[in-house]
Amino acid sequence: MVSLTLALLGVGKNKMPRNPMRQWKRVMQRRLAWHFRGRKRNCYRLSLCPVKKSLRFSTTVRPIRRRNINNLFMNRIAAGCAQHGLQYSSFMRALYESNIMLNKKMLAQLSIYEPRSFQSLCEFAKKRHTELLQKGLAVAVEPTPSGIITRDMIKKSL
Amino acid sequence: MQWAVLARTWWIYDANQQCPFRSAYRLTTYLQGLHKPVYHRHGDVGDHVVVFNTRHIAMRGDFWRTYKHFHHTRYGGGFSRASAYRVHEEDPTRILERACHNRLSGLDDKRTLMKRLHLFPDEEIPNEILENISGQIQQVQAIPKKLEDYTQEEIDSFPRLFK
Repeated sequence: MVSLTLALLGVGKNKMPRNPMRQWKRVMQRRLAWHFRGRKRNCYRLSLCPVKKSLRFSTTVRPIRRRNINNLFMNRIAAGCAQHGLQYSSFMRALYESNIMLNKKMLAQLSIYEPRSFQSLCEFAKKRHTELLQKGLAVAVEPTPSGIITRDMIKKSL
Repeated sequence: MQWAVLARTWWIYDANQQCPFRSAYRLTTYLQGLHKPVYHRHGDVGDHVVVFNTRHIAMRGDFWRTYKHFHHTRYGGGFSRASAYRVHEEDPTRILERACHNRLSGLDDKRTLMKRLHLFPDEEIPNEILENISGQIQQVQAIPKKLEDYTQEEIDSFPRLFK
């Protein structure tokens, strides 16, 4: 029979590891911090705080990410419009007022991958602008209905 | 996508009688690549911009006297400031260069973008750069016509109110 006292006492190689999770913690840290800059990438102690911060950022920065992506789409659409001689604001306004339900993501994709479709949208916006102008001019030029006296009529008669 | 979309084009700009700050606004859009629908900050989609006639830029009002460029050598007592006209005398391209530099603040690749901006004080541009140019950026301000530029016939034929 082999003596079990040394094994049970935990001496030498049989010593109970103080920190059984040590290896696992370092592996997890490396998985979360592999893309960091400097020693925080390789050293466990130095990466403890940055990893905590990155986990915190991954949730708190969600609205900011949406904002950034929205701004990127706006920049891309503005660039596409400028190539056709339009401004971003008038382009979006024309689409909104004509009930064209294209969101900024799709418009940005169109401006990159479907240039002809985007060009037709710009032409539509320009045409709408000229039509509104002509309508406005016609309203200004048409004669006033009877029974109404305007200041211009009094001045002209004088 | 078309193969030429990702090419880095060279643009030319005439800074004669233009405001440096308004020109910088337009030039930096081309440097960053904001004029392309494929724009992204990390995409390195910016273009080269060649500016000539920077010696003849125009600033509004008192700016030649009152607009200051600051410089600190990071040694004690090394702070200096100079008015725009003095800086312009010493180096005619520095005002436009600083204007573009200030507009690109906050970007990681500001240094690379500034390297793609080529400034020349007069109309002499090296041939290697002239060969690359494929487009022109529209001027920011319309140059007004001076009295000296009108011919005598135009002045005489202009209708007079009083004799």
